[in-house]
Amino acid sequence: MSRIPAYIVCSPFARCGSTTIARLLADFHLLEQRELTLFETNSQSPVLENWFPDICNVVDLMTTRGQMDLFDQMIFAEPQTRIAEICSGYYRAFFMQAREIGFFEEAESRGYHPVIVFVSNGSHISVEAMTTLHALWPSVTKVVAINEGLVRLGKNLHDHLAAFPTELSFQIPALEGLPRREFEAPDFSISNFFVSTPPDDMSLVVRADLRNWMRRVFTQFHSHELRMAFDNARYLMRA
Amino acid sequence: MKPAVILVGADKGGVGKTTISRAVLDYLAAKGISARAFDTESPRGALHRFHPHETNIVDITETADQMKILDTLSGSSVRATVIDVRAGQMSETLRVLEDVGFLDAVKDGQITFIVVHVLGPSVSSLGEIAEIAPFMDDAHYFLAKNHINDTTFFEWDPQTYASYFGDVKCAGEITIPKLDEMAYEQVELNGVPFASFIAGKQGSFVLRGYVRTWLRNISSELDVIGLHTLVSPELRR
Repeated sequence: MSRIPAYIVCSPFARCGSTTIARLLADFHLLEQRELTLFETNSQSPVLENWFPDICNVVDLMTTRGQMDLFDQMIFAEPQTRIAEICSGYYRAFFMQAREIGFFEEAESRGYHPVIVFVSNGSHISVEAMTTLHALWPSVTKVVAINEGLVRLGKNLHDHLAAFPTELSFQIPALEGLPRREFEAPDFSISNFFVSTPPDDMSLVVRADLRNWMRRVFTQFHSHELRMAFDNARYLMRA
Repeated sequence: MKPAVILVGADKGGVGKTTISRAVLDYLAAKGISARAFDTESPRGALHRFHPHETNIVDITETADQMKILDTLSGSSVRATVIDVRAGQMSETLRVLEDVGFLDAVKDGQITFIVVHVLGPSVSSLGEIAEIAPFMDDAHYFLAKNHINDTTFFEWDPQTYASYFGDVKCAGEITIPKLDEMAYEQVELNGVPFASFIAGKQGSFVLRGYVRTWLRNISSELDVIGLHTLVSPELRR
């Protein structure tokens, strides 16, 4: 049986797009008709819960009960994909707790494939932060993500990505204007958008823009999944 | 085989003696050192609840029970004997040990005697040190600062601290870190050794993780004072 992905979408910085990336990952899995559990740590003002009221668990990492709700549920209960968005305010607390309780080691021993999706703000501090994570958990898969709508690196993008201790990356293209407004609307569901008839009042141009944008994002997620499947292939594992 | 007696005590109640005795038993087991324990909280022992197979409940003031502990030291196949002293009986227990000639046997090198004196966060704990100092000449005497219930030893200003230590030859200090309340409570409810709680697959992984880290930190503290090599000198090699 292939290992079950457990995504940790995180950033030590606010406003660099980690919520958007967690949302896109969640919708990608829903579109593929997979069972999914989502966790949101911004308990003061939850956002993901608005789009995924049925599958999103809002947890408060400052309490032991909240830590149990997140860490225990991430690797126990029914085996299905997990996505946890760790907001910047809890970034440090999350990884300190994860280290203290041996979270990544336990997740791997229970058949999960933990993946840290580190959302960069484009600075060298992001590189240092991820390097620290890499030193702590060298064997855990890490993906660096850039939300180009918020972090504009231009021609420096490739140099920036190359500085991270991973070759895996998600590059979320910028989404501007009306398509962005549609995307951010509280009642807009990406997975429904692909499978249902779009609302009549949505412009054809906006519809096409959104579809193209999502395809570019989801192709990267799909490619990452294929790579994970390849990495986990038993016949390729070392004896 | 030279037997070792580890006395865990305090004259003050509620400072975590039994918690430390439990951690010491887990530590010895992890090091592969055979151990037995005596719980002097007669008739109902707190330590016995968590380590029923290794623990006997005794009344240290009764001659029959003193014999049960001390007369079996050399004949026993176990290396270490842990005595969890009832609150308020630390000085009395030491007096009994002196009266029955135990401290003389320690002096003669027949028995290794280790005392773990558990201190609470209040300054009244320090007063106990002067009281037991006369019995500590040949013992390996360690102070354990137990943070399990309190996060700070706020009354411990260095000058006050130093003034109490003039009379006692202290071999070292052990700091017992704070354990998450919920994790501690869960182990209490399960009534099992800390090591068994960690190894179990039931219950919260987070709580087990907290206990694992806490026990590992205590183990490091006990490694620093060399508890395992005091009990089993051959482990030094």
